[in-house]
Amino acid sequence: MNVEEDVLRELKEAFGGLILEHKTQKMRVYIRVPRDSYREVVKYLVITKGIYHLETITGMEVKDGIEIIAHLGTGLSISVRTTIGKENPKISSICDLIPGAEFYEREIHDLLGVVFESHPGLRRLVLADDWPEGVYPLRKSFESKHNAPLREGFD
Amino acid sequence: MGIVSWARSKSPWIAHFCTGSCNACDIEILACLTPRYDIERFGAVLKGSIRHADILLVTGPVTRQVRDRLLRIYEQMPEPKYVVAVGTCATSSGVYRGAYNVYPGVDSVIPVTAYISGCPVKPENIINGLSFLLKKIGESK
Repeated sequence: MNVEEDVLRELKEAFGGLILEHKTQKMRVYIRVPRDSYREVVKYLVITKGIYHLETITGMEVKDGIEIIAHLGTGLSISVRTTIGKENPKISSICDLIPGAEFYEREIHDLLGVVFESHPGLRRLVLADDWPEGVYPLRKSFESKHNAPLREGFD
Repeated sequence: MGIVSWARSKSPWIAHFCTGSCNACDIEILACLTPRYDIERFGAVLKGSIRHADILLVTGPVTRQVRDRLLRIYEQMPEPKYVVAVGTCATSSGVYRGAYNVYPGVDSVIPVTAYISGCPVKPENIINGLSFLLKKIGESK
């Protein structure tokens, strides 16, 4: 049995029915968990298993919500993915477990409007200072257009 | 050609401002200043302060965040001021056109005298654009 299957079996023993979907590739393990168990699964990986390296957190709008994926580990990476609703998207922050998650969560908050609960400072990170509140450029409903020219005679 | 514009066209001092480029155009500008291409033979010297410069070289697409800084730098330049848009991104915002965080070219924010195309620009193109600009400066009163 290879190492990915071992990791997946351990996760299944710890969480059982909470793992909705899983997939393994060479040096990659993907698991899908419900929104409310996301923090719990990350906590298990960080505290119990000692996988404290966070590669990144990615966010993307999919058909039925916004998908957040936390990629943990060195060499073998474990991707914990969860989907949250588009209306009023909220998820618990993992900053107290991994301080490095702070910037990724701020970026996702900027671009997709996801609120990370109990984040120490959910301020603006990548968007311009005069960007309007409540407009999230990586949402599907956002219509991308370049900024209006300051001088006349341009499209 | 008056003596002032003649003198000006023989010693253009350059300031370089990157508005969010990938640094390829910036490296080509630096290559221009090295002995191989040597734009100093035209009297062009790269200055650290915009208050000492006659020509502003702008590279990269103008992002929403950098817009106010670009305007501020432009207003600090002494008259007469010339702006050169270096590279495809600066002339028309290039592949970033239509993106939510950019303006469609430097000329949509400040007036531009010369455009140099290329991605990245070749040093020969920069010399061509500079000699065009110097000719224009020399012809002005």
